[in-house]
Amino acid sequence: MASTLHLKALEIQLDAILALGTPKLSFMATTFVPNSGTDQYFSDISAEVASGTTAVTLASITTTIDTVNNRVELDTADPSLSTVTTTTNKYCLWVDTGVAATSPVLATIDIVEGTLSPIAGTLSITVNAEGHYALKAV
Amino acid sequence: MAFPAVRSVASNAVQTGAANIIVTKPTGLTAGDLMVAFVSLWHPGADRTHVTPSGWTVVQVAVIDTDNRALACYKKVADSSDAAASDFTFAFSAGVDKSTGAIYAITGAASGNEITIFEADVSSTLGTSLLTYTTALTPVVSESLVVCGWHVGHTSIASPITSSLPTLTPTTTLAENVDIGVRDGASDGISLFCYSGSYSGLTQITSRSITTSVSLNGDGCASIILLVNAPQNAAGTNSLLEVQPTIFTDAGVIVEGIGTNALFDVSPTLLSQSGNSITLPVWTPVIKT
Repeated sequence: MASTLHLKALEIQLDAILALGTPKLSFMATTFVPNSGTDQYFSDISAEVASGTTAVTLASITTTIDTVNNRVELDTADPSLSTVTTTTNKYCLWVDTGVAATSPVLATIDIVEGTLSPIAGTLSITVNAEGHYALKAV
Repeated sequence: MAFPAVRSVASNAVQTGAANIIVTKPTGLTAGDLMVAFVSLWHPGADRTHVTPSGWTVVQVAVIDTDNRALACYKKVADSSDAAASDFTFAFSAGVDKSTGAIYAITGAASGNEITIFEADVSSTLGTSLLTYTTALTPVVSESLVVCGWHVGHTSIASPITSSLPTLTPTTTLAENVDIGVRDGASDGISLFCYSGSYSGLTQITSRSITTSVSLNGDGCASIILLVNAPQNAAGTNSLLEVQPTIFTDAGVIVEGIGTNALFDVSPTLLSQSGNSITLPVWTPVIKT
Protein backbone atom coordinates (compact mmCIF):
# COMPACT_ATOMS: atom_id res chain seq x y z
CA MET A 1 0.00 0.00 0.00
CA ALA A 2 1.20 3.54 -0.79
CA SER A 3 -1.43 5.80 0.79
CA THR A 4 -0.07 9.16 1.88
CA LEU A 5 -0.93 12.81 2.24
CA HIS A 6 1.29 15.18 0.31
CA LEU A 7 3.51 17.62 2.14
CA LYS A 8 3.10 20.59 -0.13
CA ALA A 9 -0.65 20.42 0.16
CA LEU A 10 -0.40 20.18 3.93
CA GLU A 11 1.81 23.24 3.95
CA ILE A 12 -0.59 25.15 1.69
CA GLN A 13 -3.54 24.23 3.90
CA LEU A 14 -1.73 25.39 7.03
CA ASP A 15 -0.63 28.62 5.36
CA ALA A 16 -4.19 29.24 4.27
CA ILE A 17 -5.62 29.00 7.77
CA LEU A 18 -2.86 31.20 9.14
CA ALA A 19 -3.64 33.78 6.48
CA LEU A 20 -7.21 34.16 7.77
CA GLY A 21 -5.99 36.73 10.29
CA THR A 22 -3.33 37.38 12.89
CA PRO A 23 -1.91 34.26 14.51
CA LYS A 24 -1.89 34.58 18.28
CA LEU A 25 -1.16 32.65 21.44
CA SER A 26 -3.23 32.73 24.62
CA PHE A 27 -2.16 31.25 27.93
CA MET A 28 -4.98 29.21 29.40
CA ALA A 29 -6.21 28.61 32.94
CA THR A 30 -5.10 25.38 34.56
CA THR A 31 -8.75 24.32 34.72
CA PHE A 32 -9.18 24.52 30.95
CA VAL A 33 -9.82 21.14 29.34
CA PRO A 34 -9.65 21.43 25.56
CA ASN A 35 -12.32 19.80 23.43
CA SER A 36 -11.05 19.38 19.91
CA GLY A 37 -14.60 19.10 18.63
CA THR A 38 -16.41 21.98 20.32
CA ASP A 39 -13.56 24.43 20.84
CA GLN A 40 -13.67 25.69 17.28
CA TYR A 41 -13.28 29.44 17.61
CA PHE A 42 -11.71 31.81 20.11
CA SER A 43 -15.16 32.72 21.39
CA ASP A 44 -15.44 29.12 22.56
CA ILE A 45 -12.35 29.37 24.80
CA SER A 46 -11.99 33.06 25.67
CA ALA A 47 -13.64 32.63 29.06
CA GLU A 48 -10.87 30.22 30.08
CA VAL A 49 -7.89 32.39 29.23
CA ALA A 50 -5.56 32.58 32.25
CA SER A 51 -6.42 35.52 34.48
CA GLY A 52 -4.08 38.46 34.14
CA THR A 53 -2.85 37.54 30.67
CA THR A 54 -3.43 39.00 27.25
CA ALA A 55 -3.04 37.38 23.86
CA VAL A 56 0.46 37.34 22.40
CA THR A 57 0.75 38.21 18.71
CA LEU A 58 3.03 35.57 17.26
CA ALA A 59 6.10 36.64 15.31
CA SER A 60 8.40 34.95 12.84
CA ILE A 61 5.75 32.43 11.86
CA THR A 62 7.08 29.69 9.59
CA THR A 63 5.56 26.59 8.06
CA THR A 64 8.31 24.23 7.02
CA ILE A 65 8.28 20.98 5.08
CA ASP A 66 10.45 18.44 6.86
CA THR A 67 11.07 15.69 4.32
CA VAL A 68 13.14 13.64 6.75
CA ASN A 69 10.24 13.26 9.16
CA ASN A 70 7.59 13.52 6.46
CA ARG A 71 5.70 16.36 8.05
CA VAL A 72 4.97 20.07 7.96
CA GLU A 73 5.98 22.03 11.07
CA LEU A 74 4.56 25.26 12.47
CA ASP A 75 7.14 27.37 14.30
CA THR A 76 7.23 30.90 15.71
CA ALA A 77 9.49 33.17 17.70
CA ASP A 78 9.39 32.53 21.44
CA PRO A 79 6.30 34.22 22.88
CA SER A 80 6.33 36.11 26.16
CA LEU A 81 4.31 38.45 28.33
CA SER A 82 5.91 40.92 30.72
CA THR A 83 4.84 42.12 34.15
CA VAL A 84 2.13 39.53 34.51
CA THR A 85 0.74 37.73 37.55
CA THR A 86 -1.05 34.54 36.62
CA THR A 87 -1.12 30.75 36.81
CA THR A 88 -1.11 28.65 33.65
CA ASN A 89 -0.03 25.26 32.36
CA LYS A 90 -1.01 25.30 28.68
CA TYR A 91 -1.54 27.64 25.75
CA CYS A 92 -3.74 27.84 22.69
CA LEU A 93 -2.75 28.87 19.20
CA TRP A 94 -5.46 30.65 17.25
CA VAL A 95 -5.94 33.02 14.32
CA ASP A 96 -7.51 36.37 15.14
CA THR A 97 -9.84 37.41 12.34
CA GLY A 98 -11.00 40.40 14.32
CA VAL A 99 -14.14 38.59 15.41
CA ALA A 100 -13.82 36.03 18.19
CA ALA A 101 -16.63 33.93 16.78
CA THR A 102 -14.78 33.43 13.50
CA SER A 103 -11.24 33.14 14.84
CA PRO A 104 -10.28 29.46 14.55
CA VAL A 105 -8.43 27.66 17.31
CA LEU A 106 -5.57 25.59 15.92
CA ALA A 107 -4.11 23.75 18.87
CA THR A 108 -3.80 23.50 22.64
CA ILE A 109 -0.28 22.76 23.79
CA ASP A 110 0.76 21.67 27.29
CA ILE A 111 3.67 23.42 28.99
CA VAL A 112 6.27 20.78 29.72
CA GLU A 113 7.26 22.23 33.10
CA GLY A 114 3.67 22.10 34.31
CA THR A 115 2.19 25.08 36.09
CA LEU A 116 3.93 28.44 35.71
CA SER A 117 3.10 31.23 38.19
CA PRO A 118 4.87 34.49 37.45
CA ILE A 119 4.35 37.32 39.92
CA ALA A 120 4.58 40.70 38.22
CA GLY A 121 7.22 39.03 36.10
CA THR A 122 7.81 37.73 32.60
CA LEU A 123 5.95 34.65 31.39
CA SER A 124 7.76 33.07 28.48
CA ILE A 125 7.82 29.95 26.37
CA THR A 126 10.95 28.66 24.66
CA VAL A 127 9.37 27.00 21.64
CA ASN A 128 10.53 23.49 20.83
CA ALA A 129 13.22 23.48 18.15
CA GLU A 130 10.80 21.72 15.79
CA GLY A 131 7.99 24.15 16.50
CA HIS A 132 4.58 24.06 18.20
CA TYR A 133 3.03 21.24 16.16
CA ALA A 134 3.50 19.24 12.97
CA LEU A 135 1.19 17.54 10.45
CA LYS A 136 2.53 14.23 9.25
CA ALA A 137 1.94 12.98 5.73
CA VAL A 138 1.73 9.34 6.76
CA MET B 1 15.29 39.15 39.35
CA ALA B 2 16.69 41.55 41.97
CA PHE B 3 15.62 41.85 45.57
CA PRO B 4 13.42 44.82 46.47
CA ALA B 5 15.55 47.44 48.18
CA VAL B 6 15.09 50.24 50.70
CA ARG B 7 15.65 53.56 49.02
CA SER B 8 15.25 55.56 52.22
CA VAL B 9 13.32 55.80 55.47
CA ALA B 10 11.87 58.78 57.31
CA SER B 11 10.57 58.78 60.87
CA ASN B 12 9.14 60.90 63.65
CA ALA B 13 8.15 60.57 67.30
CA VAL B 14 5.87 63.09 69.00
CA GLN B 15 4.26 63.75 72.32
CA THR B 16 1.95 66.62 71.47
CA GLY B 17 -1.56 65.42 72.07
CA ALA B 18 -2.32 66.07 68.41
CA ALA B 19 -4.78 63.88 66.54
CA ASN B 20 -2.15 63.02 63.97
CA ILE B 21 1.54 62.50 63.38
CA ILE B 22 3.37 63.99 60.42
CA VAL B 23 6.28 62.12 58.88
CA THR B 24 8.62 63.70 56.36
CA LYS B 25 8.65 62.22 52.88
CA PRO B 26 11.46 59.65 52.52
CA THR B 27 14.41 61.13 50.66
CA GLY B 28 14.26 60.54 46.94
CA LEU B 29 10.77 59.04 46.96
CA THR B 30 9.90 58.33 43.32
CA ALA B 31 6.58 57.51 41.69
CA GLY B 32 6.32 53.74 41.57
CA ASP B 33 8.15 53.21 44.87
CA LEU B 34 6.34 51.12 47.43
CA MET B 35 5.74 53.08 50.64
CA VAL B 36 5.41 51.11 53.86
CA ALA B 37 4.47 53.04 57.00
CA PHE B 38 4.50 51.99 60.63
CA VAL B 39 2.49 54.19 63.01
CA SER B 40 2.09 53.56 66.72
CA LEU B 41 0.08 55.29 69.42
CA TRP B 42 -0.29 55.31 73.19
CA HIS B 43 -2.93 57.42 74.88
CA PRO B 44 -3.30 56.37 78.51
CA GLY B 45 -6.78 55.93 79.80
CA ALA B 46 -8.84 56.55 76.70
CA ASP B 47 -9.82 54.86 73.46
CA ARG B 48 -7.84 55.86 70.43
CA THR B 49 -7.67 54.21 67.04
CA HIS B 50 -5.77 54.70 63.84
CA VAL B 51 -7.44 56.33 60.84
CA THR B 52 -6.39 54.84 57.52
CA PRO B 53 -4.91 57.66 55.46
CA SER B 54 -6.49 58.39 52.14
CA GLY B 55 -4.98 56.37 49.31
CA TRP B 56 -3.20 53.97 51.66
CA THR B 57 -4.09 50.34 52.34
CA VAL B 58 -3.95 48.74 55.77
CA VAL B 59 -1.46 45.89 55.91
CA GLN B 60 -2.11 45.05 59.56
CA VAL B 61 -3.06 46.69 62.85
CA ALA B 62 -1.68 45.14 66.02
CA VAL B 63 -3.87 46.23 68.91
CA ILE B 64 -2.11 45.73 72.21
CA ASP B 65 -5.14 46.63 74.21
CA THR B 66 -8.47 47.76 72.94
CA ASP B 67 -8.38 51.29 74.15
CA ASN B 68 -5.11 53.02 73.84
CA ARG B 69 -2.11 51.15 72.40
CA ALA B 70 -1.66 49.92 68.90
CA LEU B 71 0.78 49.61 66.02
CA ALA B 72 -0.51 50.00 62.46
CA CYS B 73 1.17 49.25 59.15
CA TYR B 74 0.05 50.75 55.83
CA LYS B 75 1.21 50.48 52.24
CA LYS B 76 0.87 52.64 49.14
CA VAL B 77 2.51 52.74 45.73
CA ALA B 78 3.76 56.28 45.36
CA ASP B 79 2.33 58.39 42.57
CA SER B 80 3.60 61.68 41.22
CA SER B 81 1.82 63.70 43.89
CA ASP B 82 3.42 61.60 46.62
CA ALA B 83 6.81 62.13 45.04
CA ALA B 84 6.16 65.86 45.06
CA ALA B 85 4.84 65.98 48.63
CA SER B 86 6.95 67.16 51.52
CA ASP B 87 5.41 65.00 54.20
CA PHE B 88 2.60 62.58 55.03
CA THR B 89 -0.01 62.82 57.79
CA PHE B 90 -1.37 59.86 59.71
CA ALA B 91 -4.47 60.66 61.74
CA PHE B 92 -6.01 59.19 64.88
CA SER B 93 -9.57 59.13 66.11
CA ALA B 94 -8.72 61.94 68.56
CA GLY B 95 -5.72 63.58 70.20
CA VAL B 96 -3.01 61.09 71.19
CA ASP B 97 -0.51 61.63 73.96
CA LYS B 98 2.37 59.79 72.27
CA SER B 99 2.88 58.50 68.76
CA THR B 100 5.62 57.38 66.43
CA GLY B 101 5.73 56.95 62.69
CA ALA B 102 8.10 55.73 59.99
CA ILE B 103 7.81 55.54 56.20
CA TYR B 104 9.91 53.29 53.96
CA ALA B 105 10.45 54.06 50.29
CA ILE B 106 11.11 50.70 48.62
CA THR B 107 12.13 49.98 45.03
CA GLY B 108 11.77 46.85 42.94
CA ALA B 109 8.57 45.45 44.43
CA ALA B 110 6.30 43.22 42.34
CA SER B 111 3.73 45.53 40.81
CA GLY B 112 0.25 44.65 42.03
CA ASN B 113 1.59 42.00 44.40
CA GLU B 114 3.94 44.04 46.51
CA ILE B 115 3.01 42.59 49.92
CA THR B 116 1.09 39.35 50.21
CA ILE B 117 2.56 37.89 53.39
CA PHE B 118 2.57 39.57 56.81
CA GLU B 119 1.98 38.85 60.49
CA ALA B 120 1.31 40.80 63.68
CA ASP B 121 2.04 39.86 67.28
CA VAL B 122 1.46 41.58 70.62
CA SER B 123 2.49 41.02 74.22
CA SER B 124 2.03 42.66 77.56
CA THR B 125 3.79 41.40 80.65
CA LEU B 126 7.37 40.59 79.80
CA GLY B 127 10.02 41.28 82.45
CA THR B 128 12.82 40.88 79.95
CA SER B 129 14.78 42.96 77.53
CA LEU B 130 14.67 40.22 74.91
CA LEU B 131 11.49 40.57 72.92
CA THR B 132 10.85 37.48 70.83
CA TYR B 133 7.87 36.49 68.73
CA THR B 134 7.20 33.11 67.19
CA THR B 135 6.63 33.72 63.51
CA ALA B 136 5.10 31.71 60.67
CA LEU B 137 5.89 33.67 57.56
CA THR B 138 6.45 31.78 54.31
CA PRO B 139 7.65 33.69 51.25
CA VAL B 140 5.78 33.30 47.99
CA VAL B 141 8.75 34.32 45.84
CA SER B 142 12.39 33.37 46.12
CA GLU B 143 13.58 36.95 46.53
CA SER B 144 11.93 39.12 49.17
CA LEU B 145 12.66 42.09 51.37
CA VAL B 146 11.72 41.42 54.98
CA VAL B 147 10.58 44.52 56.86
CA CYS B 148 9.76 44.48 60.54
CA GLY B 149 8.37 47.17 62.82
CA TRP B 150 8.37 46.99 66.62
CA HIS B 151 6.50 49.14 69.13
CA VAL B 152 7.40 49.04 72.80
CA GLY B 153 5.86 50.99 75.63
CA HIS B 154 7.18 51.51 79.10
CA THR B 155 6.33 53.52 82.18
CA SER B 156 8.85 55.31 84.33
CA ILE B 157 11.84 55.37 82.04
CA ALA B 158 14.70 57.83 82.15
CA SER B 159 14.96 58.05 78.38
CA PRO B 160 13.30 56.50 75.37
CA ILE B 161 14.00 52.82 75.00
CA THR B 162 16.40 51.79 72.27
CA SER B 163 16.93 48.44 70.59
CA SER B 164 19.71 46.31 69.24
CA LEU B 165 20.60 42.86 67.97
CA PRO B 166 17.62 42.15 65.77
CA THR B 167 17.49 38.52 64.78
CA LEU B 168 15.48 36.39 62.43
CA THR B 169 15.20 32.63 62.12
CA PRO B 170 16.47 31.47 59.64
CA THR B 171 19.46 33.74 60.18
CA THR B 172 19.15 36.84 58.05
CA THR B 173 21.26 39.97 57.91
CA LEU B 174 19.12 42.86 59.04
CA ALA B 175 19.79 46.59 58.96
CA GLU B 176 18.33 48.93 61.53
CA ASN B 177 16.37 51.63 59.74
CA VAL B 178 14.48 53.30 62.62
CA ASP B 179 15.16 53.57 66.33
CA ILE B 180 13.14 56.44 67.78
CA GLY B 181 11.14 57.11 70.90
CA VAL B 182 9.35 59.73 72.93
CA ARG B 183 8.76 60.15 76.63
CA ASP B 184 6.12 62.26 78.39
CA GLY B 185 6.32 64.25 81.58
CA ALA B 186 5.40 61.22 83.65
CA SER B 187 8.37 59.38 82.18
CA ASP B 188 6.15 57.06 80.22
CA GLY B 189 7.40 56.44 76.76
CA ILE B 190 7.04 54.56 73.53
CA SER B 191 9.59 53.62 70.93
CA LEU B 192 9.49 52.43 67.35
CA PHE B 193 12.16 50.16 65.87
CA CYS B 194 12.26 49.12 62.23
CA TYR B 195 14.56 46.63 60.51
CA SER B 196 14.85 45.27 57.00
CA GLY B 197 16.95 42.83 55.00
CA SER B 198 17.01 40.75 51.84
CA TYR B 199 15.46 37.31 52.29
CA SER B 200 16.36 34.56 49.87
CA GLY B 201 14.38 31.39 49.27
CA LEU B 202 11.03 30.00 50.35
CA THR B 203 11.93 28.76 53.84
CA GLN B 204 9.47 29.87 56.48
CA ILE B 205 10.57 32.55 58.94
CA THR B 206 9.91 31.04 62.36
CA SER B 207 10.92 33.71 64.84
CA ARG B 208 12.11 37.28 65.25
CA SER B 209 13.50 39.19 68.19
CA ILE B 210 15.11 42.40 69.37
CA THR B 211 16.94 43.35 72.55
CA THR B 212 15.78 46.51 74.28
CA SER B 213 17.80 48.86 76.47
CA VAL B 214 15.61 48.14 79.50
CA SER B 215 13.72 45.16 80.79
CA LEU B 216 10.22 45.57 79.47
CA ASN B 217 7.31 45.79 81.87
CA GLY B 218 3.65 45.26 81.21
CA ASP B 219 3.05 48.32 79.10
CA GLY B 220 2.65 46.55 75.89
CA CYS B 221 4.68 45.61 72.86
CA ALA B 222 3.73 44.82 69.30
CA SER B 223 5.44 43.84 66.09
CA ILE B 224 4.39 43.60 62.47
CA ILE B 225 6.56 41.73 60.01
CA LEU B 226 6.02 41.60 56.28
CA LEU B 227 7.68 40.41 53.09
CA VAL B 228 7.94 42.63 50.04
CA ASN B 229 7.88 40.43 46.93
CA ALA B 230 10.31 40.79 44.06
CA PRO B 231 8.81 40.20 40.64
CA GLN B 232 9.01 36.52 39.73
CA ASN B 233 9.43 35.30 36.18
CA ALA B 234 8.23 31.93 34.85
CA ALA B 235 9.55 30.20 31.75
CA GLY B 236 8.38 27.03 30.07
CA THR B 237 8.82 24.91 26.97
CA ASN B 238 6.61 22.73 24.77
CA SER B 239 6.95 19.30 23.25
CA LEU B 240 6.18 19.14 19.54
CA LEU B 241 2.57 18.08 19.02
CA GLU B 242 2.78 15.72 16.04
CA VAL B 243 -0.46 14.91 14.25
CA GLN B 244 -0.55 11.78 12.16
CA PRO B 245 -3.28 10.98 9.59
CA THR B 246 -5.43 7.90 9.97
CA ILE B 247 -5.69 5.82 6.77
CA PHE B 248 -9.09 4.19 6.35
CA THR B 249 -9.62 0.82 4.58
CA ASP B 250 -11.02 0.77 0.97
CA ALA B 251 -14.74 1.46 0.61
CA GLY B 252 -15.51 -1.62 -1.46
CA VAL B 253 -15.77 -5.08 -0.08
CA ILE B 254 -14.14 -7.89 -2.04
CA VAL B 255 -16.46 -10.94 -2.32
CA GLU B 256 -15.09 -14.52 -2.87
CA GLY B 257 -16.41 -16.64 -5.84
CA ILE B 258 -19.27 -18.23 -3.98
CA GLY B 259 -22.55 -18.39 -5.83
CA THR B 260 -25.87 -20.13 -5.55
CA ASN B 261 -28.24 -21.67 -8.08
CA ALA B 262 -31.93 -21.97 -8.35
CA LEU B 263 -33.28 -25.41 -9.28
CA PHE B 264 -33.55 -25.53 -13.03
CA ASP B 265 -36.82 -27.44 -13.42
CA VAL B 266 -37.22 -28.78 -16.91
CA SER B 267 -40.40 -30.53 -18.11
CA PRO B 268 -40.15 -32.48 -21.42
CA THR B 269 -42.51 -31.80 -24.30
CA LEU B 270 -43.93 -34.93 -25.96
CA LEU B 271 -44.16 -34.68 -29.70
CA SER B 272 -46.60 -36.69 -31.98
CA GLN B 273 -45.24 -38.46 -34.90
CA SER B 274 -46.11 -35.47 -36.94
CA GLY B 275 -43.92 -33.53 -34.74
CA ASN B 276 -46.75 -31.73 -33.08
CA SER B 277 -46.74 -31.67 -29.38
CA ILE B 278 -49.49 -33.61 -27.82
CA THR B 279 -50.85 -33.67 -24.43
CA LEU B 280 -51.31 -37.15 -23.21
CA PRO B 281 -54.67 -37.87 -21.57
CA VAL B 282 -54.49 -38.87 -18.05
CA TRP B 283 -55.72 -42.38 -17.70
CA THR B 284 -57.66 -43.23 -14.63
CA PRO B 285 -57.47 -46.90 -13.75
CA VAL B 286 -60.74 -48.80 -13.30
CA ILE B 287 -60.76 -51.61 -10.93
CA LYS B 288 -62.70 -54.59 -12.38
CA THR B 289 -64.77 -56.38 -9.94
